[in-house]
Amino acid sequence: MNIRLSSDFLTGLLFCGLGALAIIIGSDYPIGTTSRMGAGYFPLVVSIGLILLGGVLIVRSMVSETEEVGAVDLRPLIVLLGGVLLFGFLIEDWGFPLAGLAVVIAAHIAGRDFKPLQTGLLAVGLVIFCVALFSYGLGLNLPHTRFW
Amino acid sequence: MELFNDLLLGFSVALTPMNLVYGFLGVLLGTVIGVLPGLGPVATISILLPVTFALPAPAALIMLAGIYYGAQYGGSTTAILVNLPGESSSVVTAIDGYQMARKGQAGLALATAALCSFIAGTLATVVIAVAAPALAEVALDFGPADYFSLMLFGLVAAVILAHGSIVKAIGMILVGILLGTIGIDANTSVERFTFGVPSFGDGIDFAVIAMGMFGIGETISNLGGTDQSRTFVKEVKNLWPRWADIKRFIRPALRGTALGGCLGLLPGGGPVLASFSTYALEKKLSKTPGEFGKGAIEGVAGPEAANNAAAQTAFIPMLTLGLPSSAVMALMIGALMMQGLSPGPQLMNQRPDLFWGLIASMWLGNLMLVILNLPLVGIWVKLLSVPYRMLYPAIMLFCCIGVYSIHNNALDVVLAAIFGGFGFLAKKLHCEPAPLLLGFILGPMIEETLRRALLISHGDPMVFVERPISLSFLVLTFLLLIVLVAPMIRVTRQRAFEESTD
Repeated sequence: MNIRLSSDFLTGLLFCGLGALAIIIGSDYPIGTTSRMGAGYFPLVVSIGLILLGGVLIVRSMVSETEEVGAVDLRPLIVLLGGVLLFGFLIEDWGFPLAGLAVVIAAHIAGRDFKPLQTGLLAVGLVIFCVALFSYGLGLNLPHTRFW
Repeated sequence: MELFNDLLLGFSVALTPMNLVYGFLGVLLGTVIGVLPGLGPVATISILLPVTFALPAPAALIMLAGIYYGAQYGGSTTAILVNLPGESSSVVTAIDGYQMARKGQAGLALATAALCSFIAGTLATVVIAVAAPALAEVALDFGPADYFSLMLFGLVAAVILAHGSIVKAIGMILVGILLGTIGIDANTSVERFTFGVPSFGDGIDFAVIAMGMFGIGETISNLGGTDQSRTFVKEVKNLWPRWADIKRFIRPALRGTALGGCLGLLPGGGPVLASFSTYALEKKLSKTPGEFGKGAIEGVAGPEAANNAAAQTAFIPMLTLGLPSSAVMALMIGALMMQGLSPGPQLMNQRPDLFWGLIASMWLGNLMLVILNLPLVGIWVKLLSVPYRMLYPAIMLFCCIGVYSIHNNALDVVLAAIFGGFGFLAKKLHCEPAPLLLGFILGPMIEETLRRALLISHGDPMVFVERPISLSFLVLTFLLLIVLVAPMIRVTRQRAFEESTD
């Protein structure tokens, strides 16, 4: 995917969006006074600052020539994040070994390095290594890794 | 004499077998990740944070610090042999180091890098031992208003010295500060931005953000890039420098140590800026500036000494003020907090064993690194031939394990994925993730000191200019802001970073 929009413009939108979001969600937090600030005072000030900066970036992108974002490779983004999410969903009910295999396989698919035999060997090797190091060696509590 | 006793205490802590082992593990691991491009100390330290939770505080800090300066050493090996900086701070080393290696002087370049780093590390350790207690003494007089102004100064300084657009860097700091407000407000017990999720009440864990943005986010953008084919110098011989070589590199090394040591104190300054400035300085001082870029030993010695000195003096504001000057120092503060310790001037009196043990371990660590890096350089050369396709699945797996084991909470893994996506987006938009991390760590402290200062002064903002310490930091901040808009500095700053991308 090739994005021909200016990176300043998009960053400006992002900052404004985040600032606005924080103001909307935090709209019912008490503001308080300067001497006794409520929970909402500080986030409000920061959010306004963020929106102002976003505005500066948007204006700047319109008055002067700025860099385009350029090519974005969506495959690693989607597949790699998918793998991490899968790890999160699998780890508690299905255990670490399965979740770990999923991450390694997803990583190789994301990087266009997937070859069934090599990826499988690497995945199994890494999972065994991690169980030995983290679960037995360092005593971390990884689900379904204690067989005896 | 007190200094002597303190150092003695430090060595008695650092020399216990357990701390020696963890220190060694730290520098070994640091060297490995420094040698391997694509995995930095920030990601590694955040992955290991949950692991260090089980260790006693000194062992944990000693190991994490070892990773940090070990990575500086390891990064230069890759820079010299592959012309690929293993660490961002060794970008400069690659310029002349690789040229030396191509001329058959790989051994000399490696030895120069290691010895100059060792000289700088030794001197910087002494500086920390002398300066840190004095600074901590001063810091005990700091009130909330002073701390607020100090942190404001720290954030502005970090912005100036960061790469790329200043507006974007400030924006990322603000996003980080906003993320830091997530959780139950300590003063009023109001839940902020928790979306009703109970585990958000304590805020997002800092390691989740660090690992998401640095570990996962960076891997995504690395995979999107084109494959770098590596042509590296495999032959390393004549490791030991001759007397004539030592005479050539000792002065640049000392100058680099001095300059790097000063720049390391500044928030956001750190090793990268230190090595660039020293390179520029040496080129200016040299009688034969034409040799720079073609394998000048001074171009390796100065920057290597500078980045190591800066890496170590960066500990001074962290240990004495609780002020992180870089993402790695922010992680160190995170590690201290996980141990139930609050970084700041009182740390040295409360835990002298930790404070002086860490300082003593830095010198021991530097000594271990010279041994690891010179005789064992053959092993690192082999490590360089491990292809990246074997590495990144392992990095991802370690990240997942690291995030999960902070609280044994699968929700943290999902959050890390979200921050990974955000980190990738930020990188595509040319926004640096490090300022966000700094804002996230400093945000809660800034809010707390702001509220306390104004509570004491009954809402009178003059409190910030009435106190001399606070006023001086505000004046410094103001001066920095002027520098920020001054065209001359902007040009040089741009040039320094443009050279880095070549």
